[in-house]
Amino acid sequence: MTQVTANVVMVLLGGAVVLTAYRLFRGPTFMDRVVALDLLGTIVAGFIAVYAIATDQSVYIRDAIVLAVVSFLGTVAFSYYAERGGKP
Amino acid sequence: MITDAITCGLLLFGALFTVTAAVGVVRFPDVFTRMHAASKSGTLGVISLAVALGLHFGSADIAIQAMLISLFLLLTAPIGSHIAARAAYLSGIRPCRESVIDTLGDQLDGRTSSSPPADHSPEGPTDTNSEDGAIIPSDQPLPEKPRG
Repeated sequence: MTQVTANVVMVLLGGAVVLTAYRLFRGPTFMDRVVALDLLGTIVAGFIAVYAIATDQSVYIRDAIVLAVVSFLGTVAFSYYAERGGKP
Repeated sequence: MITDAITCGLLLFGALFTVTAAVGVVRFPDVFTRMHAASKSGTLGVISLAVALGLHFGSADIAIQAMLISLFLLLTAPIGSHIAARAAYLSGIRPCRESVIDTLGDQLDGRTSSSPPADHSPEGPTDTNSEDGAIIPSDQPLPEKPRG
């Protein structure tokens, strides 16, 4: 039962990734893309967690932790870049 | 069996909130409301998925790592969205027309009240009179206008 639910949830999360990627490519301003990229990293961390449930492999949790860390660092770096007005 | 049921419920709950966050990011009108959808709803959804992961494997090692994911998301989502919102405002993005309050803009303009960001007259020759009657002397140096 858990495997079936995990597969369904993976399909739903794939839809969420597609919607967020639409905003990432479309977004009118730079900060829209930053927000979309932040949400994309968070969603993919959750996707990895669900994938660990679906395959019964617990080693994928570390990937989710690392992805959450790197996504946060990317958001901070892009925001700093935008706040300086595009100058590093 | 009961653990499986709780795990399935948490998985569906998390997927619902994550999809809601993605729909909000697509549908909301400006960057601040999009950030509101992404940070709150997305964080709750992924934390729910991480708790389901910890319940599914049922060992203390995995549960601690799942709690680490949850703790990290709870720590970084407010910080990240705050930094991104401030950077968006300071790089010249303004809230959409339907917004009714702009506290950071009032602080940057030197006012203490909150009023809509309607009529900023940056180089007014006389005293600026805001909506609620607060007088700002024109000899005060205006704050640096953000880049447009």
